[in-house]
Amino acid sequence: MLKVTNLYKSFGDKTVLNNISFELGKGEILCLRGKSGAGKTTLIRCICNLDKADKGTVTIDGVESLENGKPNKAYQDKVGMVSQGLDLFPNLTVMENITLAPVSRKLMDKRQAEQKALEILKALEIEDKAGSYPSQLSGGEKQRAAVARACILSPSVLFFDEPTSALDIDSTQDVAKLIEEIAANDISVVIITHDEPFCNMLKARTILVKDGKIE
Amino acid sequence: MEIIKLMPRFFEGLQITLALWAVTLVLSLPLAFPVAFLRSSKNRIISAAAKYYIDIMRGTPLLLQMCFIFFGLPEVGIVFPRFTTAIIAFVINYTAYFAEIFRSGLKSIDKGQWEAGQMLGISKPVLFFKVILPQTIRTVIPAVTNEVTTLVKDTSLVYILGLGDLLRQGKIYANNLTSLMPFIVVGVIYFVVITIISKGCEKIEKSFSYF
Repeated sequence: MLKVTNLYKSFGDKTVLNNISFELGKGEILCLRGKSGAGKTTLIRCICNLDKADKGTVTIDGVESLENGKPNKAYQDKVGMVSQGLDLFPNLTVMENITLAPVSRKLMDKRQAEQKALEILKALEIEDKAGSYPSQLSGGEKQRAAVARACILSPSVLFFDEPTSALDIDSTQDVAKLIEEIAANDISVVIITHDEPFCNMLKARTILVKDGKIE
Repeated sequence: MEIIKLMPRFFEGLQITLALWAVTLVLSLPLAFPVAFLRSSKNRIISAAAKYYIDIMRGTPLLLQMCFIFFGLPEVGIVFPRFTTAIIAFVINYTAYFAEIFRSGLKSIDKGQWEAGQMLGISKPVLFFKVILPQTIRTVIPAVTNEVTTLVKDTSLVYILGLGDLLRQGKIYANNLTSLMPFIVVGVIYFVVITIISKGCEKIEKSFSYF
């Protein structure tokens, strides 16, 4: 599945990732824990091709993240990300947020995409929010909408960056349940968090990241 | 009564004023986006070239730019008619101002939006037109409204080219009648036109308040 091998990344003189290697199986949940500045976000940004690692390789099902030094499209289709800011498109409704990628990329026609989006929204219990704009949603609903948007492209690995940073304890439990449901559908999940109780709620493997190294 | 007889003259002047205003907007608003992108380019030469253009346009008077095109360029054999001169000067000047407004609008959009698009494999043009542009427009409408109304007043600078715009008509008849009344009428016409344009801009702003 996901295989990260000897990843290095520096910003100027500062080494942020120092020889990181790990593997993740299908449907497995992995918590990357560590203090702020430990290198967790840089690590998943490199895995998702949002930043370029200085050295090392990342593969999913044997497909390399880079092809001739540039992001590999076949690899990119296998990763999804729910960022800390969620980054829903504020001028589009929840439905439009979810269907923009599959429709504009001609992976589905509009009707197919809307049908699939509705199925996902139903599973996430926010189907009544399909016509709402992100500003009209609560924090938990926004999170679900962002998950729905990432899931419509059927990624193999879904990354969450600090998914509980702005949530109360009830919503945190909901997110834990949601992540376990995603993993039950054979999607591997990588979570960046410094929230230890949240990690303990999940049936997850935990890796500690400190000073750019795995402890 | 004299003033009423002169109203057709004032409206002739208003036509020139509004034509210059409209053509300037139609050309400079779409041109400003590419200039804003060039100004934000990672290529230092392109970015510096765009910066110099903007700095020169904003750092020198529009009147001087018009004089340069109308009186200076014929020295090297380039001659434009009066109205064309006015259009060229206004378009290159206002494009610079609009480009800076758009650049600030584009900068205000969270980088995460571009990254979310990248993660979803959405092409940059689709992301720009469907996601980034509507948000940018909403952000820049107040500043653009300001420029759009200023432009109506700036058109009066074409007196230097001898074009018969609204203010020039007022000046001619104020001299002829040795009265301030033509200036007052011209002032009222400017005020009404700008009020209508401002209301239109308010409506556009409201149409973007759905998100």
